[in-house]
Amino acid sequence: MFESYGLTAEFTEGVLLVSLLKASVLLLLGWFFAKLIVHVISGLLTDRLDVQAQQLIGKLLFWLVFGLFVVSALKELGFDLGVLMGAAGILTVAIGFASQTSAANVISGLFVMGEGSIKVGDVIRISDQTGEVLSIDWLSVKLRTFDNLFVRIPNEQIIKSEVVNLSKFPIRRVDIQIGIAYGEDIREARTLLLRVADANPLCLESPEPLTILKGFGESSIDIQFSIWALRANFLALRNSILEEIKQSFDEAGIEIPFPHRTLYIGDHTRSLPLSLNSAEDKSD
Amino acid sequence: LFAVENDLLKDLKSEQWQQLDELILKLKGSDKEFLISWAMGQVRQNAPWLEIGKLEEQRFPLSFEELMVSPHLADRTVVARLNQAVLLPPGETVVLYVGSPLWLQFRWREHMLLDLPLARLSDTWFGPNTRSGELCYASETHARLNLNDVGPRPYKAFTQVEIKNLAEDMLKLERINIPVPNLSLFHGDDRWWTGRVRVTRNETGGNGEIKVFNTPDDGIQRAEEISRPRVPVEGGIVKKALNLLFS
Repeated sequence: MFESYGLTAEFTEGVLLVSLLKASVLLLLGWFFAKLIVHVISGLLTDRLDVQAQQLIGKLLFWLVFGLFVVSALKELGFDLGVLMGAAGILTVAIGFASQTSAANVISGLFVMGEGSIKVGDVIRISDQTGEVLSIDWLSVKLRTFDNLFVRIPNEQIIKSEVVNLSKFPIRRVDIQIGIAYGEDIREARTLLLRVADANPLCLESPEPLTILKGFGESSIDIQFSIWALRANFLALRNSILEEIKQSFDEAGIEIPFPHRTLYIGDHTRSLPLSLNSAEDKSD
Repeated sequence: LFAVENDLLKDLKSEQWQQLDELILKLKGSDKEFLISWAMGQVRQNAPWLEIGKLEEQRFPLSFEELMVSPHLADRTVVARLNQAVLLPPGETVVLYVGSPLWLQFRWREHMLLDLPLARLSDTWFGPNTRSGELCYASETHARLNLNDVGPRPYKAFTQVEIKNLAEDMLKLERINIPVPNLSLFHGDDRWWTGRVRVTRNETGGNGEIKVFNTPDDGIQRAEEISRPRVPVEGGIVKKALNLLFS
Protein backbone atom coordinates (compact mmCIF):
# COMPACT_ATOMS: atom_id res chain seq x y z
CA MET A 1 0.00 0.00 0.00
CA PHE A 2 2.76 2.33 1.05
CA GLU A 3 4.67 1.31 -2.03
CA SER A 4 1.70 2.12 -4.25
CA TYR A 5 1.25 5.46 -2.43
CA GLY A 6 4.90 6.21 -3.04
CA LEU A 7 4.48 5.42 -6.69
CA THR A 8 1.37 7.61 -6.98
CA ALA A 9 3.13 10.53 -5.25
CA GLU A 10 6.11 10.15 -7.54
CA PHE A 11 3.79 9.96 -10.54
CA THR A 12 1.89 13.08 -9.42
CA GLU A 13 5.12 14.98 -8.83
CA GLY A 14 6.31 13.88 -12.25
CA VAL A 15 3.11 15.07 -13.90
CA LEU A 16 3.36 18.40 -12.05
CA LEU A 17 6.94 18.85 -13.11
CA VAL A 18 6.04 18.14 -16.74
CA SER A 19 3.13 20.61 -16.51
CA LEU A 20 5.40 23.25 -14.97
CA LEU A 21 7.94 22.65 -17.69
CA LYS A 22 5.28 22.92 -20.39
CA ALA A 23 3.88 26.11 -18.86
CA SER A 24 7.37 27.64 -18.63
CA VAL A 25 8.08 26.74 -22.26
CA LEU A 26 4.72 28.24 -23.27
CA LEU A 27 5.47 31.48 -21.41
CA LEU A 28 8.96 31.68 -22.89
CA LEU A 29 7.67 30.91 -26.37
CA GLY A 30 4.85 33.39 -25.91
CA TRP A 31 7.31 36.14 -24.92
CA PHE A 32 9.51 35.58 -27.97
CA PHE A 33 6.57 35.05 -30.32
CA ALA A 34 4.88 38.27 -29.14
CA LYS A 35 8.17 40.19 -29.56
CA LEU A 36 8.62 38.70 -33.04
CA ILE A 37 5.09 39.64 -34.12
CA VAL A 38 5.53 43.21 -32.82
CA HIS A 39 8.85 43.47 -34.65
CA VAL A 40 7.38 42.24 -37.96
CA ILE A 41 4.24 44.38 -37.74
CA SER A 42 6.25 47.48 -36.72
CA GLY A 43 8.48 46.95 -39.74
CA LEU A 44 5.43 46.82 -42.01
CA LEU A 45 3.89 49.95 -40.44
CA THR A 46 7.05 52.10 -40.37
CA ASP A 47 6.16 54.12 -43.47
CA ARG A 48 2.41 54.10 -42.93
CA LEU A 49 1.94 55.28 -39.35
CA ASP A 50 3.63 57.77 -37.04
CA VAL A 51 5.85 56.67 -34.14
CA GLN A 52 3.10 57.13 -31.57
CA ALA A 53 0.58 54.89 -33.37
CA GLN A 54 3.29 52.29 -33.98
CA GLN A 55 4.15 52.25 -30.26
CA LEU A 56 0.47 51.89 -29.30
CA ILE A 57 -0.21 49.08 -31.77
CA GLY A 58 3.03 47.38 -30.73
CA LYS A 59 2.09 47.40 -27.04
CA LEU A 60 -1.48 46.19 -27.69
CA LEU A 61 -0.26 43.37 -29.94
CA PHE A 62 2.40 42.32 -27.47
CA TRP A 63 0.02 42.01 -24.51
CA LEU A 64 -2.67 40.35 -26.63
CA VAL A 65 -0.37 37.63 -27.97
CA PHE A 66 1.50 37.18 -24.69
CA GLY A 67 -1.82 37.12 -22.80
CA LEU A 68 -3.04 34.19 -24.92
CA PHE A 69 0.11 32.25 -24.07
CA VAL A 70 -0.29 33.09 -20.35
CA VAL A 71 -3.87 31.71 -20.44
CA SER A 72 -2.60 28.54 -22.19
CA ALA A 73 0.15 28.16 -19.57
CA LEU A 74 -2.38 28.49 -16.73
CA LYS A 75 -4.60 25.90 -18.37
CA GLU A 76 -1.61 23.58 -18.68
CA LEU A 77 -1.04 23.92 -14.94
CA GLY A 78 -4.58 22.73 -14.35
CA PHE A 79 -6.25 25.98 -13.41
CA ASP A 80 -9.96 26.20 -14.12
CA LEU A 81 -10.26 29.31 -16.30
CA GLY A 82 -13.93 29.87 -15.33
CA VAL A 83 -12.98 30.14 -11.67
CA LEU A 84 -9.99 32.27 -12.59
CA MET A 85 -12.18 34.69 -14.56
CA GLY A 86 -14.55 34.99 -11.59
CA ALA A 87 -11.64 35.64 -9.26
CA ALA A 88 -10.21 38.11 -11.78
CA GLY A 89 -13.55 39.98 -11.77
CA ILE A 90 -13.50 40.34 -7.99
CA LEU A 91 -9.82 41.24 -8.10
CA THR A 92 -10.48 43.85 -10.78
CA VAL A 93 -13.07 45.57 -8.56
CA ALA A 94 -10.66 45.51 -5.62
CA ILE A 95 -7.77 46.80 -7.74
CA GLY A 96 -10.07 49.36 -9.33
CA PHE A 97 -10.83 50.90 -5.93
CA ALA A 98 -7.20 50.75 -4.93
CA SER A 99 -5.82 52.26 -8.13
CA GLN A 100 -8.29 54.92 -9.17
CA THR A 101 -5.51 57.35 -10.10
CA SER A 102 -3.76 54.83 -12.34
CA ALA A 103 -7.05 53.85 -13.97
CA ALA A 104 -7.87 57.51 -14.61
CA ASN A 105 -4.43 57.95 -16.19
CA VAL A 106 -4.87 54.88 -18.40
CA ILE A 107 -8.26 56.09 -19.64
CA SER A 108 -6.91 59.63 -20.12
CA GLY A 109 -3.99 58.07 -22.00
CA LEU A 110 -6.40 56.46 -24.44
CA PHE A 111 -7.99 59.86 -25.08
CA VAL A 112 -4.60 61.56 -25.47
CA MET A 113 -3.54 58.92 -28.01
CA GLY A 114 -6.90 58.93 -29.80
CA GLU A 115 -7.27 62.71 -29.98
CA GLY A 116 -3.98 63.15 -31.82
CA SER A 117 -3.38 66.70 -30.58
CA ILE A 118 0.13 65.74 -29.51
CA LYS A 119 2.49 63.15 -30.94
CA VAL A 120 6.00 61.90 -30.31
CA GLY A 121 8.54 64.55 -31.39
CA ASP A 122 6.19 67.53 -30.88
CA VAL A 123 7.26 70.43 -28.68
CA ILE A 124 4.55 71.19 -26.13
CA ARG A 125 4.03 73.63 -23.26
CA ILE A 126 2.01 72.49 -20.25
CA SER A 127 1.87 74.47 -16.99
CA ASP A 128 5.42 75.78 -16.65
CA GLN A 129 7.09 72.96 -18.58
CA THR A 130 8.12 73.17 -22.22
CA GLY A 131 9.79 70.29 -23.99
CA GLU A 132 9.88 67.66 -26.69
CA VAL A 133 7.53 64.68 -26.34
CA LEU A 134 9.63 61.52 -25.97
CA SER A 135 6.77 59.05 -25.56
CA ILE A 136 3.04 58.84 -24.85
CA ASP A 137 2.51 55.87 -22.55
CA TRP A 138 -0.46 54.33 -20.75
CA LEU A 139 0.09 56.33 -17.58
CA SER A 140 2.07 59.40 -18.57
CA VAL A 141 3.63 61.55 -21.24
CA LYS A 142 7.41 61.87 -21.07
CA LEU A 143 9.05 65.15 -22.01
CA ARG A 144 12.62 66.28 -22.53
CA THR A 145 12.89 69.93 -21.60
CA PHE A 146 15.29 72.28 -23.40
CA ASP A 147 17.63 72.26 -20.38
CA ASN A 148 17.75 68.46 -20.84
CA LEU A 149 15.58 67.37 -17.93
CA PHE A 150 13.28 64.38 -18.05
CA VAL A 151 9.73 65.31 -17.06
CA ARG A 152 6.89 62.83 -16.52
CA ILE A 153 3.41 64.30 -16.83
CA PRO A 154 0.42 62.10 -15.83
CA ASN A 155 -2.06 61.64 -18.67
CA GLU A 156 -4.90 62.90 -16.47
CA GLN A 157 -3.11 66.25 -16.16
CA ILE A 158 -2.71 66.43 -19.94
CA ILE A 159 -6.46 65.95 -20.38
CA LYS A 160 -7.40 68.45 -17.65
CA SER A 161 -4.87 71.20 -18.44
CA GLU A 162 -4.31 73.57 -21.31
CA VAL A 163 -1.62 72.12 -23.58
CA VAL A 164 0.05 74.34 -26.18
CA ASN A 165 1.55 72.43 -29.10
CA LEU A 166 4.36 74.63 -30.43
CA SER A 167 5.09 72.42 -33.42
CA LYS A 168 1.63 71.67 -34.81
CA PHE A 169 1.84 74.14 -37.69
CA PRO A 170 4.84 74.72 -39.97
CA ILE A 171 5.14 78.50 -39.45
CA ARG A 172 4.88 80.74 -36.38
CA ARG A 173 4.35 84.44 -35.74
CA VAL A 174 6.90 86.43 -33.76
CA ASP A 175 5.26 89.36 -31.92
CA ILE A 176 7.63 92.11 -30.85
CA GLN A 177 6.47 94.97 -28.63
CA ILE A 178 8.28 98.23 -29.35
CA GLY A 179 7.87 101.67 -27.79
CA ILE A 180 8.98 104.86 -29.52
CA ALA A 181 9.22 108.31 -27.94
CA TYR A 182 6.27 110.70 -28.35
CA GLY A 183 8.39 113.06 -30.42
CA GLU A 184 9.14 110.47 -33.11
CA ASP A 185 7.45 110.03 -36.48
CA ILE A 186 5.29 106.87 -36.36
CA ARG A 187 5.26 106.49 -40.15
CA GLU A 188 9.06 106.59 -40.31
CA ALA A 189 9.30 104.00 -37.54
CA ARG A 190 6.87 101.73 -39.40
CA THR A 191 8.82 102.08 -42.65
CA LEU A 192 12.05 101.22 -40.85
CA LEU A 193 10.51 98.14 -39.23
CA LEU A 194 9.25 96.84 -42.58
CA ARG A 195 12.67 97.46 -44.11
CA VAL A 196 14.35 95.51 -41.31
CA ALA A 197 11.94 92.60 -41.90
CA ASP A 198 12.60 92.72 -45.64
CA ALA A 199 16.36 92.52 -45.11
CA ASN A 200 16.23 89.56 -42.74
CA PRO A 201 16.27 86.31 -44.75
CA LEU A 202 14.63 84.34 -41.94
CA CYS A 203 11.59 86.60 -41.95
CA LEU A 204 8.94 85.24 -44.31
CA GLU A 205 7.90 87.56 -47.10
CA SER A 206 4.42 86.06 -46.92
CA PRO A 207 2.40 86.21 -44.65
CA GLU A 208 3.40 89.85 -44.77
CA PRO A 209 4.94 91.61 -41.75
CA LEU A 210 2.42 93.66 -39.82
CA THR A 211 2.67 96.73 -37.57
CA ILE A 212 -0.16 97.45 -35.13
CA LEU A 213 -0.36 100.71 -33.21
CA LYS A 214 -1.28 99.44 -29.76
CA GLY A 215 -1.89 102.77 -28.07
CA PHE A 216 -0.34 105.61 -26.12
CA GLY A 217 1.60 104.20 -23.21
CA GLU A 218 2.89 105.97 -20.09
CA SER A 219 6.24 106.72 -21.63
CA SER A 220 5.98 105.69 -25.26
CA ILE A 221 3.82 105.09 -28.30
CA ASP A 222 3.44 101.33 -28.29
CA ILE A 223 3.73 99.38 -31.54
CA GLN A 224 3.37 95.65 -32.08
CA PHE A 225 5.56 94.34 -34.89
CA SER A 226 4.40 90.92 -36.07
CA ILE A 227 6.51 88.84 -38.43
CA TRP A 228 6.40 85.21 -39.52
CA ALA A 229 9.10 82.58 -39.45
CA LEU A 230 9.51 78.93 -40.16
CA ARG A 231 8.98 77.04 -36.87
CA ALA A 232 12.63 75.96 -36.76
CA ASN A 233 13.81 79.57 -37.25
CA PHE A 234 11.53 81.12 -34.60
CA LEU A 235 14.20 81.79 -31.97
CA ALA A 236 16.88 82.76 -34.49
CA LEU A 237 14.55 85.33 -36.05
CA ARG A 238 13.46 86.77 -32.70
CA ASN A 239 17.07 87.21 -31.62
CA SER A 240 18.36 88.68 -34.86
CA ILE A 241 15.41 90.98 -35.54
CA LEU A 242 15.61 92.65 -32.10
CA GLU A 243 19.26 93.46 -32.68
CA GLU A 244 18.53 94.77 -36.17
CA ILE A 245 15.62 96.94 -34.99
CA LYS A 246 17.78 98.53 -32.27
CA GLN A 247 20.58 99.17 -34.77
CA SER A 248 18.18 100.57 -37.35
CA PHE A 249 16.46 102.89 -34.84
CA ASP A 250 19.82 104.08 -33.51
CA GLU A 251 21.03 104.90 -37.02
CA ALA A 252 17.80 106.79 -37.81
CA GLY A 253 17.87 108.59 -34.43
CA ILE A 254 14.54 107.14 -33.29
CA GLU A 255 14.42 107.02 -29.52
CA ILE A 256 13.22 103.89 -27.71
CA PRO A 257 12.31 105.50 -24.37
CA PHE A 258 12.63 104.01 -20.93
CA PRO A 259 9.84 104.68 -18.39
CA HIS A 260 10.07 108.17 -16.87
CA ARG A 261 7.97 110.36 -14.54
CA THR A 262 7.30 114.10 -14.60
CA LEU A 263 6.80 115.52 -11.13
CA TYR A 264 4.21 118.27 -10.92
CA ILE A 265 4.18 120.28 -7.72
CA GLY A 266 1.03 122.32 -8.23
CA ASP A 267 2.26 125.57 -9.74
CA HIS A 268 2.68 125.98 -13.53
CA THR A 269 5.72 128.23 -13.42
CA ARG A 270 7.59 127.40 -10.29
CA SER A 271 10.28 124.77 -10.48
CA LEU A 272 10.83 122.11 -7.88
CA PRO A 273 12.89 123.65 -5.02
CA LEU A 274 16.05 121.68 -4.48
CA SER A 275 18.83 122.39 -2.01
CA LEU A 276 22.19 120.79 -1.33
CA ASN A 277 22.80 119.78 2.25
CA SER A 278 26.30 119.38 3.64
CA ALA A 279 27.46 116.41 5.69
CA GLU A 280 27.21 118.52 8.87
CA ASP A 281 23.54 119.24 8.19
CA LYS A 282 22.96 115.49 7.84
CA SER A 283 24.49 114.82 11.25
CA ASP A 284 21.84 117.11 12.80
CA LEU B 1 30.80 83.12 -66.23
CA PHE B 2 29.77 79.48 -66.15
CA ALA B 3 29.97 79.02 -69.92
CA VAL B 4 32.61 76.39 -69.36
CA GLU B 5 32.57 74.75 -65.94
CA ASN B 6 36.26 74.01 -66.18
CA ASP B 7 37.04 77.71 -66.45
CA LEU B 8 35.09 78.36 -63.29
CA LEU B 9 36.93 75.62 -61.48
CA LYS B 10 40.23 76.99 -62.75
CA ASP B 11 39.31 80.43 -61.36
CA LEU B 12 38.27 78.95 -58.05
CA LYS B 13 41.40 76.84 -57.75
CA SER B 14 43.57 79.92 -58.10
CA GLU B 15 43.45 80.19 -54.28
CA GLN B 16 42.14 83.77 -54.62
CA TRP B 17 38.84 85.02 -53.25
CA GLN B 18 36.20 84.89 -55.98
CA GLN B 19 32.95 86.85 -56.05
CA LEU B 20 29.89 85.12 -57.54
CA ASP B 21 26.88 87.37 -57.01
CA GLU B 22 26.70 87.74 -53.20
CA LEU B 23 28.72 84.60 -52.51
CA ILE B 24 32.45 84.91 -51.97
CA LEU B 25 34.55 81.78 -51.90
CA LYS B 26 38.08 80.49 -51.98
CA LEU B 27 39.49 77.03 -52.60
CA LYS B 28 42.85 75.93 -51.32
CA GLY B 29 44.24 72.45 -51.61
CA SER B 30 46.87 69.88 -52.37
CA ASP B 31 46.87 66.31 -53.66
CA LYS B 32 45.67 65.02 -50.29
CA GLU B 33 43.21 67.59 -49.00
CA PHE B 34 41.40 70.82 -49.78
CA LEU B 35 39.66 73.59 -47.92
CA ILE B 36 36.59 75.50 -49.13
CA SER B 37 35.95 78.89 -47.47
CA TRP B 38 32.80 80.86 -48.21
CA ALA B 39 30.52 83.63 -46.96
CA MET B 40 27.91 86.11 -48.14
CA GLY B 41 29.74 89.38 -48.64
CA GLN B 42 32.17 91.15 -50.91
CA VAL B 43 35.78 90.72 -51.93
CA ARG B 44 37.73 93.90 -51.19
CA GLN B 45 41.48 94.02 -51.84
CA ASN B 46 41.55 90.25 -52.17
CA ALA B 47 40.09 89.77 -48.69
CA PRO B 48 36.58 88.97 -47.51
CA TRP B 49 34.49 91.87 -46.28
CA LEU B 50 31.36 90.82 -44.44
CA GLU B 51 28.59 93.12 -43.29
CA ILE B 52 26.63 90.36 -41.65
CA GLY B 53 27.09 86.65 -41.21
CA LYS B 54 30.35 84.85 -40.77
CA LEU B 55 32.99 83.10 -42.77
CA GLU B 56 32.48 79.35 -43.03
CA GLU B 57 35.08 76.76 -43.84
CA GLN B 58 35.02 73.07 -44.61
CA ARG B 59 38.05 70.82 -44.93
CA PHE B 60 38.00 67.60 -46.97
CA PRO B 61 40.70 64.90 -46.84
CA LEU B 62 40.30 64.26 -50.59
CA SER B 63 42.28 64.85 -53.73
CA PHE B 64 41.89 68.44 -54.96
CA GLU B 65 42.30 67.33 -58.60
CA GLU B 66 39.05 65.37 -58.61
CA LEU B 67 36.89 68.20 -57.25
CA MET B 68 34.12 69.21 -59.63
CA VAL B 69 31.86 72.24 -59.53
CA SER B 70 28.60 72.92 -61.37
CA PRO B 71 25.78 75.46 -61.32
CA HIS B 72 22.27 74.30 -60.40
CA LEU B 73 18.82 75.65 -59.73
CA ALA B 74 17.37 76.26 -56.26
CA ASP B 75 16.54 73.38 -53.94
CA ARG B 76 13.05 74.74 -53.19
CA THR B 77 10.37 76.33 -55.33
CA VAL B 78 10.72 80.06 -56.01
CA VAL B 79 7.91 82.58 -55.64
CA ALA B 80 7.91 85.67 -57.84
CA ARG B 81 5.59 88.62 -57.46
CA LEU B 82 4.19 90.44 -60.47
CA ASN B 83 4.80 94.20 -60.59
CA GLN B 84 1.07 94.63 -60.72
CA ALA B 85 -1.63 92.00 -60.46
CA VAL B 86 -2.77 90.64 -63.84
CA LEU B 87 -6.33 89.58 -64.65
CA LEU B 88 -6.50 86.81 -67.24
CA PRO B 89 -9.92 86.54 -68.95
CA PRO B 90 -11.51 83.13 -69.69
CA GLY B 91 -10.02 81.32 -72.68
CA GLU B 92 -6.88 83.49 -72.75
CA THR B 93 -3.21 82.60 -72.37
CA VAL B 94 -0.37 84.62 -70.87
CA VAL B 95 3.39 83.99 -70.97
CA LEU B 96 5.48 85.22 -68.03
CA TYR B 97 9.25 85.29 -67.48
CA VAL B 98 10.46 84.73 -63.97
CA GLY B 99 14.04 84.92 -62.67
CA SER B 100 15.31 82.54 -60.02
CA PRO B 101 18.66 82.29 -58.22
CA LEU B 102 21.52 79.92 -59.02
CA TRP B 103 23.26 77.42 -56.75
CA LEU B 104 26.79 76.07 -56.89
CA GLN B 105 27.40 72.39 -56.22
CA PHE B 106 30.78 70.96 -55.27
CA ARG B 107 31.18 67.27 -56.08
CA TRP B 108 33.91 64.76 -55.55
CA ARG B 109 33.39 61.67 -57.67
CA GLU B 110 29.72 60.72 -57.04
CA HIS B 111 29.53 62.49 -53.65
CA MET B 112 28.02 65.94 -53.25
CA LEU B 113 30.15 67.94 -50.82
CA LEU B 114 28.50 71.35 -50.71
CA ASP B 115 25.45 73.00 -52.20
CA LEU B 116 25.69 76.79 -51.89
CA PRO B 117 23.29 79.52 -53.07
CA LEU B 118 24.90 82.45 -54.87
CA ALA B 119 22.72 84.96 -53.02
CA ARG B 120 21.03 85.38 -49.67
CA LEU B 121 17.41 84.41 -50.21
CA SER B 122 14.38 85.28 -48.14
CA ASP B 123 11.99 82.55 -47.16
CA THR B 124 8.32 82.86 -47.95
CA TRP B 125 5.21 80.80 -47.32
CA PHE B 126 2.98 79.83 -50.20
CA GLY B 127 -0.37 78.22 -49.61
CA PRO B 128 -4.05 78.82 -48.94
CA ASN B 129 -3.48 79.44 -45.19
CA THR B 130 -0.87 79.31 -42.42
CA ARG B 131 -1.60 75.65 -41.68
CA SER B 132 -1.05 74.19 -45.14
CA GLY B 133 1.28 75.27 -47.88
CA GLU B 134 4.98 75.04 -48.60
CA LEU B 135 8.14 76.90 -47.73
CA CYS B 136 9.63 78.61 -50.76
CA TYR B 137 12.25 81.19 -51.65
CA ALA B 138 11.09 84.69 -52.49
CA SER B 139 12.56 85.78 -55.81
CA GLU B 140 14.06 89.23 -55.89
CA THR B 141 13.06 89.65 -59.52
CA HIS B 142 9.48 90.38 -60.57
CA ALA B 143 7.62 88.23 -63.01
CA ARG B 144 7.63 90.04 -66.40
CA LEU B 145 5.28 89.78 -69.33
CA ASN B 146 7.96 90.71 -71.85
CA LEU B 147 11.39 89.09 -72.00
CA ASN B 148 12.94 92.36 -73.17
CA ASP B 149 11.94 93.95 -69.85
CA VAL B 150 14.25 91.52 -68.09
CA GLY B 151 17.75 92.92 -68.11
CA PRO B 152 20.81 90.70 -68.45
CA ARG B 153 21.34 89.02 -65.10
CA PRO B 154 24.52 86.92 -64.91
CA TYR B 155 23.38 85.02 -61.83
CA LYS B 156 19.69 84.47 -62.53
CA ALA B 157 18.02 81.74 -64.56
CA PHE B 158 14.82 82.60 -66.41
CA THR B 159 11.75 80.42 -66.64
CA GLN B 160 9.11 80.79 -69.30
CA VAL B 161 5.69 80.16 -67.72
CA GLU B 162 2.66 79.79 -69.95
CA ILE B 163 -0.71 80.05 -68.20
CA LYS B 164 -3.95 79.04 -69.95
CA ASN B 165 -7.23 79.97 -68.32
CA LEU B 166 -9.95 77.58 -69.55
CA ALA B 167 -12.28 78.38 -66.63
CA GLU B 168 -15.34 80.59 -66.99
CA ASP B 169 -14.10 83.23 -64.55
CA MET B 170 -11.17 85.63 -64.53
CA LEU B 171 -7.86 84.41 -63.12
CA LYS B 172 -6.11 86.96 -60.93
CA LEU B 173 -2.34 86.57 -60.85
CA GLU B 174 -0.34 88.30 -58.14
CA ARG B 175 2.32 85.81 -57.16
CA ILE B 176 3.52 82.72 -58.96
CA ASN B 177 5.32 79.70 -57.54
CA ILE B 178 7.87 78.20 -59.95
CA PRO B 179 8.70 74.50 -59.38
CA VAL B 180 12.42 75.00 -60.14
CA PRO B 181 13.58 71.75 -58.45
CA ASN B 182 11.70 69.96 -61.27
CA LEU B 183 13.49 71.92 -64.01
CA SER B 184 16.76 71.56 -65.93
CA LEU B 185 19.24 74.42 -66.23
CA PHE B 186 20.37 75.59 -69.68
CA HIS B 187 22.80 78.20 -70.96
CA GLY B 188 22.34 79.96 -74.27
CA ASP B 189 22.27 83.48 -75.75
CA ASP B 190 24.49 84.62 -72.83
CA ARG B 191 21.74 83.86 -70.35
CA TRP B 192 20.71 81.11 -67.99
CA TRP B 193 17.41 79.40 -68.75
CA THR B 194 15.36 76.76 -67.06
CA GLY B 195 12.97 74.26 -68.59
CA ARG B 196 9.52 75.65 -69.44
CA VAL B 197 6.34 75.42 -67.36
CA ARG B 198 2.82 75.23 -68.75
CA VAL B 199 -0.17 75.63 -66.43
CA THR B 200 -3.68 74.92 -67.65
CA ARG B 201 -6.56 75.93 -65.39
CA ASN B 202 -9.49 73.70 -66.30
CA GLU B 203 -13.17 74.52 -66.81
CA THR B 204 -14.14 74.23 -63.15
CA GLY B 205 -11.37 76.60 -62.09
CA GLY B 206 -10.39 74.59 -59.04
CA ASN B 207 -8.11 72.11 -60.73
CA GLY B 208 -5.77 71.99 -63.64
CA GLU B 209 -2.56 70.59 -65.01
CA ILE B 210 0.99 71.71 -64.35
CA LYS B 211 3.42 70.41 -66.94
CA VAL B 212 7.16 70.98 -67.19
CA PHE B 213 9.15 70.70 -70.43
CA ASN B 214 12.83 70.20 -69.82
CA THR B 215 13.83 71.52 -73.21
CA PRO B 216 14.99 75.08 -73.90
CA ASP B 217 12.76 77.59 -75.65
CA ASP B 218 12.95 77.31 -79.46
CA GLY B 219 14.07 80.92 -79.74
CA ILE B 220 17.26 80.39 -77.74
CA GLN B 221 20.37 79.83 -79.85
CA ARG B 222 22.90 77.11 -78.99
CA ALA B 223 21.30 76.25 -75.66
CA GLU B 224 23.27 73.68 -73.69
CA GLU B 225 21.92 71.70 -70.78
CA ILE B 226 24.12 72.41 -67.73
CA SER B 227 22.33 70.44 -65.01
CA ARG B 228 19.46 67.99 -64.67
CA PRO B 229 16.42 68.60 -62.38
CA ARG B 230 17.02 68.01 -58.69
CA VAL B 231 13.64 66.28 -58.46
CA PRO B 232 12.69 64.76 -61.84
CA VAL B 233 8.97 64.38 -62.50
CA GLU B 234 7.52 61.45 -64.37
CA GLY B 235 5.95 62.45 -67.68
CA GLY B 236 6.58 66.09 -66.86
CA ILE B 237 3.35 66.33 -64.84
CA VAL B 238 3.79 68.09 -61.49
CA LYS B 239 1.36 66.74 -58.93
CA LYS B 240 0.42 69.88 -57.07
CA ALA B 241 -2.79 71.76 -56.30
CA LEU B 242 -3.21 74.93 -58.35
CA ASN B 243 -3.59 77.03 -55.20
CA LEU B 244 0.02 76.07 -54.47
CA LEU B 245 1.10 77.53 -57.80
CA PHE B 246 -0.39 80.99 -57.99
CA SER B 247 -2.35 83.44 -55.91
